[in-house]
Amino acid sequence: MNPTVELANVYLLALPEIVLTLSACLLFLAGTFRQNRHFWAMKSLGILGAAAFILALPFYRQPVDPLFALQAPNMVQPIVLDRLALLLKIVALIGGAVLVLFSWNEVSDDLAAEYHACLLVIIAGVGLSAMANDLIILFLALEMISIPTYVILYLQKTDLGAREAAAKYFLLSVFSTGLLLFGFSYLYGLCGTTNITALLDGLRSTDAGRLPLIALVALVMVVAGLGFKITAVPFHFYAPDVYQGTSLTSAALLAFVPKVAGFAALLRVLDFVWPGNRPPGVALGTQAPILFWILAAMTMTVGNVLALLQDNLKRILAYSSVAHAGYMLIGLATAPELAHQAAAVGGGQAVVFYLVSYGAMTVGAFAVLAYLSTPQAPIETVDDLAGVSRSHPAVALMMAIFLFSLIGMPLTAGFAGKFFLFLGALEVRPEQAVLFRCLALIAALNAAAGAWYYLRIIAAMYLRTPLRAIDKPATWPGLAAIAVCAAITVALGVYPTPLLQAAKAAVGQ
Amino acid sequence: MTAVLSGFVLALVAPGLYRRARAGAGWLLALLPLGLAGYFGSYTEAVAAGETVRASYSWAPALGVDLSFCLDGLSLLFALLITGIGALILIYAGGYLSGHPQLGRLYAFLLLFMASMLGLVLADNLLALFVFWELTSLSSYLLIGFDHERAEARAAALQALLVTGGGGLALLAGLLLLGQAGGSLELSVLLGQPHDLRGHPLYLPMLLLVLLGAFTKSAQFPFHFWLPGAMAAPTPISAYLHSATMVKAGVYLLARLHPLLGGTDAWHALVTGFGAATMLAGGLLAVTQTDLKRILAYSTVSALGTLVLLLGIGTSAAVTAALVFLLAHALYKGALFLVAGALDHETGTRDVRQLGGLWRTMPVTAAAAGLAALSLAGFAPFLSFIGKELVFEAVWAAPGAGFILAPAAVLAGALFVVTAGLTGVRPFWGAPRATPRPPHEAPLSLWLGPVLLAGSGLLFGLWPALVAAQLVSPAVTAVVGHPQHVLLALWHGFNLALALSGVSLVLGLALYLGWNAIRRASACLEPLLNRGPAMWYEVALRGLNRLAQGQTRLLQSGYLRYYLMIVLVATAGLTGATLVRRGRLASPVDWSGLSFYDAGLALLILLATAAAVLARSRLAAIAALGVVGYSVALVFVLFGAPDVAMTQFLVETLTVILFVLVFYHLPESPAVSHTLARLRDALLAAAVGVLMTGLVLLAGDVQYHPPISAYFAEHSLADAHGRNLVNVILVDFRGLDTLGEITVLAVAGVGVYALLKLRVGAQGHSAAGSTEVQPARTDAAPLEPEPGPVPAVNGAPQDGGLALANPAAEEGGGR
Amino acid sequence: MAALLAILIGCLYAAGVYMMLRRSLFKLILGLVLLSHGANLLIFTAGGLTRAQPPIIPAGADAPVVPSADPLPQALILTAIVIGFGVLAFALVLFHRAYQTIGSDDPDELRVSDG
Repeated sequence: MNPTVELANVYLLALPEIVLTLSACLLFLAGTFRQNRHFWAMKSLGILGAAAFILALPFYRQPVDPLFALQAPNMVQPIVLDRLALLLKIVALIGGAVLVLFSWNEVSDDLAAEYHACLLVIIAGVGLSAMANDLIILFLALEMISIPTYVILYLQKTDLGAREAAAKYFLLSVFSTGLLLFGFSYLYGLCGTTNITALLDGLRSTDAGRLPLIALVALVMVVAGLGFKITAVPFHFYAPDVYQGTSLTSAALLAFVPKVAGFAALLRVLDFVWPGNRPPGVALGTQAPILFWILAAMTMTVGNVLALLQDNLKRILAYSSVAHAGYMLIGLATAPELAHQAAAVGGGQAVVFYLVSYGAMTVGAFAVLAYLSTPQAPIETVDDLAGVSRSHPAVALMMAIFLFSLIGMPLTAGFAGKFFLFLGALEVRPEQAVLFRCLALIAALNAAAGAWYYLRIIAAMYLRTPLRAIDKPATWPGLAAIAVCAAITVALGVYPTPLLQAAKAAVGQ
Repeated sequence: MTAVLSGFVLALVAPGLYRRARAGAGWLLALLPLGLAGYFGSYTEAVAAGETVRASYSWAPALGVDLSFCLDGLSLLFALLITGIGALILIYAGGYLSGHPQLGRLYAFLLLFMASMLGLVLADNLLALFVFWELTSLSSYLLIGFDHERAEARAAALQALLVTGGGGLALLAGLLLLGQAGGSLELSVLLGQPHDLRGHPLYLPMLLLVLLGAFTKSAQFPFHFWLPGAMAAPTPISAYLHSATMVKAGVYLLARLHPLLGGTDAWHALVTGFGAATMLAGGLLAVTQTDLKRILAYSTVSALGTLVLLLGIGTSAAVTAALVFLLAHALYKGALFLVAGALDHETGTRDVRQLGGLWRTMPVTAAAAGLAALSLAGFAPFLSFIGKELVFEAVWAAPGAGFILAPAAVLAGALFVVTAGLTGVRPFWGAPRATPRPPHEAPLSLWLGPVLLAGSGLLFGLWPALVAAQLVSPAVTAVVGHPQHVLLALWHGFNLALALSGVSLVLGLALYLGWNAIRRASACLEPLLNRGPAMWYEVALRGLNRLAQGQTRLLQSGYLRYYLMIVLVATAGLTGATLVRRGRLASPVDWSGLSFYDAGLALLILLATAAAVLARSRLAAIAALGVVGYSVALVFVLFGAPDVAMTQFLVETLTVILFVLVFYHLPESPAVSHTLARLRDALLAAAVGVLMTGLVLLAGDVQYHPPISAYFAEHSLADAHGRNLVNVILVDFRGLDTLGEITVLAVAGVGVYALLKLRVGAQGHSAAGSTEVQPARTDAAPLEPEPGPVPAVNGAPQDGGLALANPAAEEGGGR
Repeated sequence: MAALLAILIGCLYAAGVYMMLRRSLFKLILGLVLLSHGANLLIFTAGGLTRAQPPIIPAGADAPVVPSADPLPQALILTAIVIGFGVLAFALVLFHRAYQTIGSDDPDELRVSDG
């Protein structure tokens, strides 16, 4: 094997991310010379387009299959481009484009370049974290997401609430990064490698039932560290305070991006991805269905119960973000069992599907709020949405679609996603059936409780008379962002098969 | 399929149509359900011949989940009721709410409901069924809350939604279990190859969950309380949803699943028991009311109870009785509701005590009401008479319990008579009374519905063959599971059923005459009634609220410290639990290889740390922090990591400078924590410290346990052709890291820059701004030499330095 | 020495945590720095302590001199230190700005809680 070729491969694989990052650096530098939000938004759309173009090139995707086939290179490859990575990169690029559209008119002219540059770095970070096959790369990729996020949190708004948000997010994030690093270093200490493939192979070769204690400690730490990113209870505390304090664009970003990266990292590090000829894993993740069971149950319940009383829309969506993280954790809890019984929809697969669905509906919901808000009259509480169905029928309809999807109404992505997750929990084989049926029951109860606060919003939009006129001039980027999200939400609900299959190929069950 | 979708589509355009067509909109919209009724009607022959019509759309083929519909006898009966009555209701609503600004919305909701209900009865897939089930709950919520200005309507809407929607979730769980046990989610498959689900270990939970769903929807005791509340809806809604169709969804479900789940002891006991209780409770509550709609609501509860009771008995006679009764009930109860609405509309009141002698002013309405009332009371020659005979017959013949159930049914029948008198007779006969509005005849749109409904009740009664072979027989076949031929006749001869019928009529007339006495007696029972299930609903709702409030206060305090503390405790707890579970708390401590320097260094770090923690002045703390950092760098030197040590030296220097610059000119802040808080924090910190020490010791124990590291090291060496291992790793495996590090540092630099820039922009104090630029400048300068001693990471700090320098330069240039 | 370092790490963590729980932004950041020192040492020990030899393969040999220090954790620590510094710089400015906004060193002033 020729090492130079391999090395070239590595850079080739990261080409979209490299393009994004370098362009971002250019944006940072050039930002001083041109202060026009339309200009920079256009530019970053173009850059995302360029990255997508590279993704679409045949030569780029060509390495996908050889990397599957060759076991050895994976052992030293710091990044791999398997189907999971490819799927998540596409998701990241689309999500990035939507976020650019969404924030088009939400950023001020003089900070537009910095904002978009940060966004591009974040998207590159997501792509990199999806590909990372090395703990160090993964750590870096996650930092590439976190640090620009701190900056964006601060760039967008400068009042006291925003400061609180930035400070809280920053501190807790740094702390969670510490936990993660701790977990990583233990994993390293255990196996003497930071390469994830090699590391997991090492763990597999140990007696399956009795992983060394230190591996379990590492597992707990990794889950705790990433739990912050996916807003799992009890690492979720920042979410409501931060979402409320910060701008709608940042809140949407926080609700979506860290979840994708966090779940991608969890799937990889905890051995939930079994591509090609690797057998279903017995490494880390499989040791802890109970850990995920507890996390899932707690996260769903806390998220939904706390959301019940909220009146502030951002807080509601924050708790909803927590609750949905809980639903997704069900997939991680069931994944090992389902893999062994070759279930129709595996746990990891359902998680990937739900990630995409959740992204579309939650970003869409935030985009609607941003679309209707003006600096003078922001949409803050449920009351502010009263009667929107009359002043903005189309937007209200799309908001209703997002909310119905968050509830899990059929023919929306949310239903399909929840269905696959819950079905998995019901299908776990007899020995643990009762346990997981209980989880499904808890999830169903939660979905019911959740429906209540989303319905309140719908009821306000459709049943109540407006308390004040919302007269925001229509802007096409905002509308486009909402429309894209709505289209994805409906398309995944009506015809989930393509994504479902892509997700299946991604986690390799 | 198209039939169901067309309703949804029309619901979308209904408000627009209303804006165009105004008064005619109701008539126009009614064309759809009429057309659909015709469409379904055209299948009557085929279905009666035993055929089942299906349509399917593939949703997730991998899972075998399809959106499929099928039309058999049972579905057809319901579909015709839904579309037929639906058409009348749309027309009626146009007259009832004519001129209402939100009428367009009402049409939309009504069509939405109609489409969902059609979907529910046509769905072949259990999940699709559930979906439509919840959609009906939802549209019912929207319709009850239509009059949203009234808090009472909103509360009632919510109550209905929570009860039926919650039941729906139980149903979902039940259906999923059913699908699992039966191996398919398609009803047709399940019905076609009956795995004997009744013997399945999960049969009982399955049954209970399904029943919970059905009972909440069909307002069975003790969940009946939402239905009278739902009367807050405009009358056409009450007539359609809460009498004729939606509340029968539970009955439909029981009928549909009867071949799968019915016939066991549990089924008999539960379904029959709750049905009977509901039948009596509903009847009794009905006669104590004075509001027309509430009387009708409770009597509907009673009728639903009767239906459930009959399905619980489950013999083919009982099923026949149930379906005939269902049809008859839909006709006369719908009519009575519409009459009640017309009365309300024309006179301004629904209190039976204020109404009387209206036949003079409202003759057509009175005639319709009279027909419907006779039907409700069960007089010949109405369809309901036949139904009632069948009910008595079936109940009397119920295996094992006939002698208890029959008197109950007779009593319920008598109470029906009272209800009929109160709602159909009393307002129209006797002396005229003063009403809030001078009464006059209702317009065509308002009397058309009642007349047609009540009229068809009479028509079917006179010629029962119209419905017997084409509608009822196929439906009964579908429920019982094997072909049935039902013959209906008005005259059954002198038999027990006729006798029971006579008894209940006489008893009913007697009760009607003594109605005032009954009401007075019931007033004494008021306190008892107030403690009914409705109160428990309130209590539960309040409890949930309080739980949420408490949890919010406890967890989401808004204090950063507490969030941090909870995260710490959770992580430490989880880790600790793992350790304890494995029973490995202590391991032998290895003190070997400890040199004098090591000990000295460690002592130095400890002392410096203590100083940093305890220092009163900021400068002292910063100095102590610097000592800690340098000493840590020395540790790296001692253990063969000179590269790391150099980096650490540099970074530490910068850190100290930064700290001093940022905090030097800020005033000292007083100590604010309580001693107790400090003690608590110290304890927590100590626990974390001990845990960490333990973990590190543990890690030392198991290092390099698996052979993989050797394999990996060998591999990486062979592939990389490098000699300095740190270099090899950095250049080969972490090629990308360099880019990442540059980026991360660049972004951090931009962040610092942005913070400074923002402030200048926000406050315009250029003087204050320039003092703040200082830290950024100082970051930049000393970073630059770093690449020298640390060749391995040369890319990163250099560019990081550049990135930090640039904003500072720009900042300077911009000013 | 491993044992001594373990105790050292424990103390650094304890001190860091204690400082982070104080009601002072300054102490909070101080705690952060202490924690990061602890974390760096931790990674270092996780790789196994070997006195002396840096991990370099001498000319002519195929493998590093045994025993030599483990190169991987060193790489990891380098990353951690560099990034940690970036974060620290950001933190300092961030909290300085917060200080200016609320006019006090008390993070409790930064609070928008649930009603």
